[in-house]
Order: sequence, then structure tokens, then C-alpha cells
Amino acid sequence: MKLFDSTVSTLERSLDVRLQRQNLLAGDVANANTPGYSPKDLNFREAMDAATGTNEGQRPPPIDAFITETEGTPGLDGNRVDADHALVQLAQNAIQYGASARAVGKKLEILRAVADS
Amino acid sequence: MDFFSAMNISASGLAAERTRVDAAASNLANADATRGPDGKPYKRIDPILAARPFENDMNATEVQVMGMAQSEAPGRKVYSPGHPDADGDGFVTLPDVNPIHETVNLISASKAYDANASAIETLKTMAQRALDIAK
Repeated sequence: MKLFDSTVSTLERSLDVRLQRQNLLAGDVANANTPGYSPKDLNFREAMDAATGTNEGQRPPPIDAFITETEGTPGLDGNRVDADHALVQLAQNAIQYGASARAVGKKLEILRAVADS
Repeated sequence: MDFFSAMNISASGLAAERTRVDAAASNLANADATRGPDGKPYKRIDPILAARPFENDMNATEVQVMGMAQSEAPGRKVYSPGHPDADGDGFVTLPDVNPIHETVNLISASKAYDANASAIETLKTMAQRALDIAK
């Protein structure tokens, strides 16, 4: 039994993936009026599955591998960004990031309680 | 990739949208200007936006204003013989500016500016959550 079990490393990975996704979504919002731009997104589930399927001691595959260009109907200028969709995803992703962050905090709290007892 | 990358990406969006507002404001203000800097009627301007990899990171994209495109479209001809800039037939050439078009651009740019600002706000909340881990 290790002090920092796989829960913390899984949560750590989820924080990384969420942050990377936030960066992509921020780029989509910034390019909402750039002609010919296709929005990018990241498949959270696949990125997490790949990491949890990795054996101990191995590095999980880089998050970049799970980035996809979103399909969508282009506007007159060839831009495929749906600004409403991007903003909703942005807000959701931030909340889920907060949830992961809080879970790490709780986990550390438990360890602290053990250490202090 | 860190929090400040995403903030800088959204900041590039703010700058781009502000440039669009500037251009629309300039076009609206000069909708009837018969003399531009070159002495000819004002030419409407349009910013050229381009997506660019953020700090050589091939995944995240920021937006950059590549420059201003000047409209080469012929202006509107209005009959006004008394006007100092009227030609031999009494016609004055006014800029090729459509105020409705510019107003729509203005609204669209302003909304997009708000979207980028709220993306930054969301990111600030996220960063605060990360700091709270160690609280």
C-alpha cells in the first residue's frame, strides 16, 4: 500500500487533460471570426482510458494524441466554430476541472489527517 | 501548457475583436468622407484575421491580425454639383461603406469580445480551484 495510490495520479491526469482541453476551447472562441478555421477539441474519455490502461512505471500516451478537429457546417467564410457550443463546453470543462481539483484536495486532506493523528 | 497560455490565447481574441470594432468605427465615421489621406475618397478597411499556433505549440491556436485590407471597390456616385469634390458632371464619389454592414460587424465583434472575456473569467475560476488544492 503506497501513500499516494493510483487515485491521485488518475486525478492528476484528468487535471492535465482538462487544462489542455480548456486551452483548445479558448483557441476556438478566439478564432470564432477567423475565415476557414476549424475548431479543435479533445476526447476526454479516450485520453483518460489510455492513461488508466497504462502499466505502472510506463508513461501514459501524450494528451496531444487525442486532439480532434471538429466537424461542422462552415459559415460563409469557411469558419466552423459554433461560439455558443464552445462557450458551454468551456464552462462545463472548468466545472469538471474544479471537481477533480477538489477530489485531489480531499484525498490530501485524508492523508494529512492520518499524518497528524 | 499552463493557465497563462489559455489566458494569452483569449487575450489574442480580445485584441482581434477590438481591431474589428476599430475598423467598423473607422468605416462608419468616414462613411461620407470624400477625401482620405491620399486625397481620394476614403476606402473601407477590413482586418485580416488568421489562426496561428500558440507559441509554436501545434495544438492550441491563437488568432492574429495580419493587417488591414483596403476595399478597392468603386464608391457610390451621388449627384451634387455644388460640392467642392464634384467631378465635371456634378457627381461626387462617396466611400464604398454600407452603414448597415458596418453596424452588424460592430455587434458581431462586440459579442465575440464578450465571449473571449468570459473565457478568461472561466479560466480564472479554474486556476483558483487548482490553488485551492493546497489549501
